[in-house]
Amino acid sequence: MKPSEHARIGRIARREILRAIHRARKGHLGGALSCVDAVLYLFMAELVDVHQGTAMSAVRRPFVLSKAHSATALLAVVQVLYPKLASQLSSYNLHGSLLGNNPSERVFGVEYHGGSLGHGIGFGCGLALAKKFGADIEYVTVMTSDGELHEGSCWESILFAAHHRLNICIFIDANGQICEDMIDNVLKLGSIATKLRAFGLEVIEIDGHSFSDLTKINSFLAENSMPRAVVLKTVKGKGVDFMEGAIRFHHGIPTDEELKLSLAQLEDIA
Amino acid sequence: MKDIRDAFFERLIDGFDQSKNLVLLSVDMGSTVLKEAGKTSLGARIINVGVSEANAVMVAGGLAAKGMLPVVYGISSFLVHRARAQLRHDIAINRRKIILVGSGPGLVYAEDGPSHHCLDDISSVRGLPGFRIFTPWDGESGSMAAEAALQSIEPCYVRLDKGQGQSVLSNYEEVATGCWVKTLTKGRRSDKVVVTSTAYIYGNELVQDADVLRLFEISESTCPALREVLRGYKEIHVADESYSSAGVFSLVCESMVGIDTCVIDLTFQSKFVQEKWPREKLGYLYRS
Repeated sequence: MKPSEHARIGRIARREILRAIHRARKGHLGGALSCVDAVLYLFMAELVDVHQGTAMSAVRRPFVLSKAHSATALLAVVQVLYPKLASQLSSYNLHGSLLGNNPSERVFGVEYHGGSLGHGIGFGCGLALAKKFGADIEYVTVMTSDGELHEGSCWESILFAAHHRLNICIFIDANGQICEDMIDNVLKLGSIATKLRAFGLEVIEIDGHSFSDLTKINSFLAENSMPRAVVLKTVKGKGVDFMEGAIRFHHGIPTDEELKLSLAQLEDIA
Repeated sequence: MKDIRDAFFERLIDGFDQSKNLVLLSVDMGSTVLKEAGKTSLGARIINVGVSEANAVMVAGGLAAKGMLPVVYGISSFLVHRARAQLRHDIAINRRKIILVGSGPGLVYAEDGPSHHCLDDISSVRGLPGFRIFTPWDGESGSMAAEAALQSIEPCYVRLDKGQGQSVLSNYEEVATGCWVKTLTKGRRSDKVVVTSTAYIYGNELVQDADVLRLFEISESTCPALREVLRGYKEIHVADESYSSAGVFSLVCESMVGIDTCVIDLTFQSKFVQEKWPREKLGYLYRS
């Protein structure tokens, strides 16, 4: 995979995210734009397996999107990489669609339906624990947000992962914001990496938008079987200059003009 | 006569032998049967997850998604209330099969104070689509509850009272799904019936001149089943360790809509009793 290819598909995915949310007049934009580079990398590098859209997970390396409100990132990535198998984002959040704000596990690519924050790590622990009882699992990846770590249930699960030495890797999309404000203004998390290490995880911190940093995931995932975490330093709304760091784009919908300006910034570079 | 919990766990442990997919997650709970099982080869599938009901249910969801059959064992009041969000999001929404086992429903832990008075677990779990609730009242029905939970394709919640119970299964007959009746006079119905899910019935005077209907199962099929059984009675007394609202009294009323019968509420008022009293006295205080 070349950096330029990752960047190119990243721009395509961002355009799909913006169009889908604008069309539906509903969606969580900022967080999808902050995590899409990492999600794309995991799938392009084939570090995770794609959920096949059935109730029983049959994949060996499941990807659990715990911050499910950013599902447009996952759906866009899956649509671009698997165009013949993926559901089309054109139906995102439209009436009757399974591709809602927090899409169903019946959708190709969606391992875990999510919607209530604080559950995905525990669910991922269950998937990883199943390996000890003969299930065909290599490792489990879970993506959460930094805001999600406000939920106490996350820490119960992290304790559990560490104690049982589960082969699980938690990615934290650390964009520094929640819905209404900056995290530091509401409930400080301090150093997430320090806290996770104190809970017994191995941790690396990388720039979640830098291709060269993202490549560090390869060995960290594949050559390690202990519970671990990757803190992705990201920017909410990344990719569109007037959306970057803007609180209102947590779930604000771009106007027609804003969509046009955004898409222009995300055009393919000749 | 066997203790309800011992009988339940003995049958469940048999299930461990029969199915390699069973995994028990205990929220730091003790049980003689489980401790003994833990010393055998089954021990690898019995895990104390620590004092974390929420995590236990989330982990159970993940295990179920990979084809395992998780059993989560904790104290009813904490399991159902603290992990309610997890039961909803990680189990019920995708109807994942787990067996939730709650020790201490109703006023089993009377003397531990209102934090342990579990009078709203039925109302809470009834609100989770797909869940089946089993409420055994003696050793034999405890064993039956384990069997039913193992065989069920739906998620289950088993409420385990303690002790040997006050009346034995063999005196009852299953007259409709989940509805077991002991008639005052063998083979003949009385005019009056007491309905309960509680292993323990207050004041035997309540049942001296009445049939007894024990709800072994509460699920989506209970209302029509109850309606069939209760329609022939002139007086229905509901005596249960649950709040009137959304508990067993409410369930009986729902099932009798449109039928002209006297339904008397002997369940609990919506309050918490703070003073420490033994179970029977506390039951009277909750009713008055």
